[in-house]
Amino acid sequence: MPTIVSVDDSTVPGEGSSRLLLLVSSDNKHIVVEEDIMSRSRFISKQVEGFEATSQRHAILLPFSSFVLNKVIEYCSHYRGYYLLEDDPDAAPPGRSPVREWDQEFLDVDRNMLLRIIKAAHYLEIKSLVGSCARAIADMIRGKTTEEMREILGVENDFTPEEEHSPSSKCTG
Amino acid sequence: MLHPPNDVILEILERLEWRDIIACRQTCHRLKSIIEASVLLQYRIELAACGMLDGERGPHTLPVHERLERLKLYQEAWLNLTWTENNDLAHLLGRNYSDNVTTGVALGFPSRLDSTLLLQTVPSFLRGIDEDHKIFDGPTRTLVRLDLSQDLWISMNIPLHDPFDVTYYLKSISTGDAHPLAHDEGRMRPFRRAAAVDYCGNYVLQSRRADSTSSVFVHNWKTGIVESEKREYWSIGTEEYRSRNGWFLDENYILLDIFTSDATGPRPFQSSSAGCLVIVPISPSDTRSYRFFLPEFFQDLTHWAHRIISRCTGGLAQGCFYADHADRLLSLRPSLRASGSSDPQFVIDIPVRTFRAYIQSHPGDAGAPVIVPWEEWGPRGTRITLETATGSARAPRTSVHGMRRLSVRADGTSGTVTVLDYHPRRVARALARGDAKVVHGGSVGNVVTLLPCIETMVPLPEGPARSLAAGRMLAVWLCENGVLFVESLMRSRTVTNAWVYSI
Repeated sequence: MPTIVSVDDSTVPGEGSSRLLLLVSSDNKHIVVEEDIMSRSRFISKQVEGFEATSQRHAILLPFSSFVLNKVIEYCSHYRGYYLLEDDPDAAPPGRSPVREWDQEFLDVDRNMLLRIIKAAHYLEIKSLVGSCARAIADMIRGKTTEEMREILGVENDFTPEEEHSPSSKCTG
Repeated sequence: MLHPPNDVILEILERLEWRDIIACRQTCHRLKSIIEASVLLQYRIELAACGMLDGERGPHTLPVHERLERLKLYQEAWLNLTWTENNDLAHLLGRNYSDNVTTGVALGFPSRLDSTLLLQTVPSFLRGIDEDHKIFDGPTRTLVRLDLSQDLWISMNIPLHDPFDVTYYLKSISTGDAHPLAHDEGRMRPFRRAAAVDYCGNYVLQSRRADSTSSVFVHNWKTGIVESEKREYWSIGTEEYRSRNGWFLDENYILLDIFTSDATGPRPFQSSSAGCLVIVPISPSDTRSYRFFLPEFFQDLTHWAHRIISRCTGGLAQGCFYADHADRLLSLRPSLRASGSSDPQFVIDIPVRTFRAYIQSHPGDAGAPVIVPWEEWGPRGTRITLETATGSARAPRTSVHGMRRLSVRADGTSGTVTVLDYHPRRVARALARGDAKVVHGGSVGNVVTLLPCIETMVPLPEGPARSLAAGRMLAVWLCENGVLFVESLMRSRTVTNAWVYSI
């Protein structure tokens, strides 16, 4: 059951831009973060718009752990106030995400963590983070055998032996 | 177990090359269906299977699904070649015609009546390119090279009073002025006696022959710096052979031809050890050199007067897709000195990747040239075709584009167009599907070659067939856009008819 926490606007200090949000992770950790930081997330922005329409602020429940959430918040804090083309809903869809050095270091984690971050970023609709994670995973996959790819992507081989050797699943080149 | 959503999987897959996408398709049902549902990924796979690269430049940017559709149509069209569309290129008429046609662009040179140069874009429905032409003033005498991707054209001026005082001009196609990136306001003075020039990306190659050496210089046209200089001198047996011309084989190697041609006219091959293609790396620190020998019968024919090396110039086309410019065909066609001879004409087709594969597996030593006998590289990596000229013994017209070679043969009152496609992935696909005629090799005398290719033969369209029957000179060009036929007068080379047939 979602916990509705009513936040009175008057209790938030300062200008409107630095209002606080309460995020609740799947392991039931409550994390308070400035709204400004999370504005990169389309999902959060839409929630905030909803709050403004109903004048009711409540906690936002997220379907991933606090460990992953903190990582995403770290990313958003780093790029606070930066303009990233991929996150601009009005910009033309970029072909490929640019290489950002900080992202590479930030995403130097094991593949399970990487998959968790990309899922969270996708849920939160942070396109730049999805792009950077996808690039990191693609770099892992590149040049690997089919078996190694299954391992990295965490998928099971559900082909029957006949299907696996059928010409339709093989490349003609 | 982690199951990223489909959109996330797609984000990852879209960052992979086609080989990895194919491997991913075999991991599980879910990934397979995601890949098969994605237009972008299907387009990437189709491009790879067709041996094409995507042209991202150019004004005609079509959406991906449209590109995929057109790419499929395009492949289909090559296999079932028919003439579907006919455009007359009226602007070419009356101009002098050049043999220099770059992808999708025909050139009309100044004639007696008109002192301007014409750049005629060849239209194509399949590629979404409309007819377009540009007219330029200026000194453009004999040679023009075009690179649409860099908006560059190189022209050459040879003053009448001093034929060695050559000047090259590097100009922008869109404005007609000096190219903004070119060094020294787009003017390039080569070394005196420079015999040939070739172009590749940022580099311009000049070769010259002096005394007993031949030198090849590689300039960066943007900085004006000579980045590499190669000298070759050799004597084989009692004969001295010198290279006269140099070309870029690809971005890493230069091709020199060793057949001599000196002031007294073309010299016949007399030594049985002559007749090889010399390949040297461009890098100045790399002093290796490879000599790929041609079959013996090629060398023994004393009256093969001079060679014609047809070669794809590798210009990248504007629009939606083009062939990989690293995957090209070298087509060697010795031509007869005396016209009217009934000797057979033959062509040796060599994909550039044949040389690359050999060099990669045989690193060689610095300094000493690597001698590669014909038997070691030729039979598997090349194809020899006999092109018997009938009737008036007119040499077959051929042109090369990418991995395809097109030739036209007069056949009594009609004519045939033959397209040979050597791209290994297209050949493999045709073999797997059985939807095209794949021929395995060819032979001349006892020299047998094994390289397979797709052969397509169609009768000439009506207009060009008529001009061939009337004994006019008919040049034929394979453009990615289709096929361009140019009929011109034998002596003055004035264009009397020009057709483009989209396939």
